[in-house]
Amino acid sequence: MIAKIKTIDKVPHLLSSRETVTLDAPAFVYLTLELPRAPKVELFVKEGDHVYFCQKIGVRHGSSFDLPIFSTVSGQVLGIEKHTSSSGKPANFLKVQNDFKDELDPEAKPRTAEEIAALTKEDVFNIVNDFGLTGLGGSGFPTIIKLKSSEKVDHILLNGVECEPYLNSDQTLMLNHAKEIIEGALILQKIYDCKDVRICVKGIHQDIVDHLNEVLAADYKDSGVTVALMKNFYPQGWEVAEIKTALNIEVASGKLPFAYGVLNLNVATAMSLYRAVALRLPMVERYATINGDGVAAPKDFLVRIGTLFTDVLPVVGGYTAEEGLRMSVGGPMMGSTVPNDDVVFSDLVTNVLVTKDHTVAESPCIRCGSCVLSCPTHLEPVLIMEAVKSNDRDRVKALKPLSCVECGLCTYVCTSGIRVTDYIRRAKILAKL
Amino acid sequence: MNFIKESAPHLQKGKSLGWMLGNVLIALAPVFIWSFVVYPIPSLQIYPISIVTCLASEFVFILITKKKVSEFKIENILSAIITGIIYAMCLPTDLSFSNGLGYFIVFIGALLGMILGKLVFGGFGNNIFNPAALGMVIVRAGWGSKLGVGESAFPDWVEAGGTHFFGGSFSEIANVNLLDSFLGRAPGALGETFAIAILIGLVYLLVTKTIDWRVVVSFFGTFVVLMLAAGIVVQVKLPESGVNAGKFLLYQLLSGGVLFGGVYMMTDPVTGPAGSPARYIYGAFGAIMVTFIRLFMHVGGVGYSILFANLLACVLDYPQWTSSRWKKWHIITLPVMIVVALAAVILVLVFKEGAVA
Repeated sequence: MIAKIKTIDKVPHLLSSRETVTLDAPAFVYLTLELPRAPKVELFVKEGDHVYFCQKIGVRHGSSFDLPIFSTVSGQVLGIEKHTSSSGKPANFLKVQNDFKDELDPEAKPRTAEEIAALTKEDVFNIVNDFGLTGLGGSGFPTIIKLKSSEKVDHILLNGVECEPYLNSDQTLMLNHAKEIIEGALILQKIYDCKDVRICVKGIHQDIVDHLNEVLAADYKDSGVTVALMKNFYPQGWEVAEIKTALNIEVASGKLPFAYGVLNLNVATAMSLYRAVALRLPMVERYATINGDGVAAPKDFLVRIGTLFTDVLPVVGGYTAEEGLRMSVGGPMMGSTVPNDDVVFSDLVTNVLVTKDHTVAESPCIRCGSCVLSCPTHLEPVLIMEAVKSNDRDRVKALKPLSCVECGLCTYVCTSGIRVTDYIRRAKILAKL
Repeated sequence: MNFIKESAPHLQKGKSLGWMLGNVLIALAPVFIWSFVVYPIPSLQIYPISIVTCLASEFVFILITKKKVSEFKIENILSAIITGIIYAMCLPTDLSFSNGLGYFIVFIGALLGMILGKLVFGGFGNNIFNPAALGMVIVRAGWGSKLGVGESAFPDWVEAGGTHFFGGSFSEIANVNLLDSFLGRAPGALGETFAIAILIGLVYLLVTKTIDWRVVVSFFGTFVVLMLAAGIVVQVKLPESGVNAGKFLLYQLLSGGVLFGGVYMMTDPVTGPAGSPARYIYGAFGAIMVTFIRLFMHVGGVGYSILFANLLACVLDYPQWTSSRWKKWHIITLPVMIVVALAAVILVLVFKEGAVA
């Protein structure tokens, strides 16, 4: 089929629901230590120490920022263990035994409304830095860098598009925590003196749109916060597409939204800002999904950050096959596979996909051009693939593969079942050489 | 438990290659059936040789390159059959079969078309030229004198230059019965004369999104613009012949291989460019070539035009120039190309002595 394809069809081997099971906190949590962006870890606690719920127990040093580590339970520090990070590589985690008391860190006292009102831009930046807020849309990008580089902000967008199919953690968050998200937005609104705040939600999620509008009408009349209806295509949640739909501003390839006076944060990031500023609390839970025909009963969860995947496995009824399964962390379009199930639900894990083999056997490319028509970054994947196959670096460079966002549509639409995105990834490496 | 590695994305819309190739066969079916009804004997002589030759050459190629019979897959079979059918449909119905030369011509065209047009480039998906068009052109170049206009199954058809070759003078177009042309009651190649069947195929190909409408629109759009202009010149210069611009245009559309080539051959994605603005330029270029060859050389030129357009496709896909969005050079080139062609057509027909007769 030669067509521009922008929607992902439903498949029988994945479930879509929005019914959330709240999991009990696990007996042990595993806290992420080093991060690719902040590899140097400094721990304030040692083996055997008691830690409070939400206590800052360490910090990771990045190049220009620090990302602190918080305990998501109260209990005893047991030591460092190796587990699999969400990118699939082995990594160190701090094991904490849960005493099931959830004894809150005594320093975590909420700020009063007056205190919050008195906060300056600098104060908020300091809080963001202290809590090491990161982009919860999946990038994990330090929020402080985004906030500091935004000098003049004309529009604040809260990204709740969640355009990948079968993801719904942001949707659930908006239904259950609308107020916290809006409060987070109001803090930004105040420090940037920017009235225009838009929560970007797909128009097809009528229940979320209605709920947000109800909350806004009841408690935030004339606040300037509105709901912006997003279209139902993939990748609408990519910030360039989101900004285009919400504001009709075209962000050029290689430019960042702040150059256009736009500050764009995920809805979960806005909520984490509210918790840090108003409650002096980090994020300790997140909505996540275990999906796919590789587990018996796929479900949505509210899970304590630091829970091990294998602790949740019984709740989804275990695996449906002995071997041949694929497991990936992240959405079905962009998530990366992990080699084993020793994975921890960190703050960035929204979805774990366990599926049987559904890959399509490859046939020769007939240059139908569906990948060219569908590419959201206006690349020509088929030509990039041909250039990569001939190992011609100049040809690869001329086709500008670096603006690819790896949304996966070229593989998805391919009439010959070719995993085109893999070639583009190789092209990016070739182009950088 | 260990898990199998797989790069993102983990969803695929599903392969539709076999479905697309099958659609081309379905779209060819009306033409195929009609050719059997009208020309039963030539059909029985031409199709089997052509299809078997294409299939066999593809099979031998797979055996040589892949060394495994299991690599001879459904897409190889379907594409070889498609090439065989399209090539056969381009051949005239009055090959001299009595002394066996006709069979040889069908065979050698199919074989050389497959080898030189497709297999030397690496087989299915890698070819630069449309193998059917190349086969047809080789046969025409080598055995042109043995290929007639196409023996008419309709004795009452007025031979006015024929539909297959545009050989006659413009004034004779007045004698052509356009309805006969449209209904396929005209001499010509095995599959080229049946306008209704071809149009049914076109609609099917477009509805199932098997071909890119951009190529179809630009090819026929450009062709109509140029031929309409030519028709106006002819009407003005030959007022007493009774040829008007509308009849001239319809004759050009319904005669020879324009309809067939534009629907089934220009639209082959393998031999066309990948970028979408390039596809407009590709289609327009093909139409300009057909127009020039027909008007200035007084011969049928669809096969050659398609091969020229195939060559241009490689240029259009040149990495420094190509783009999936309209770049400045696309926006300038396409109209400039059409305007220059238009000027050439008008100037030659108006000022060249004997160009319109």
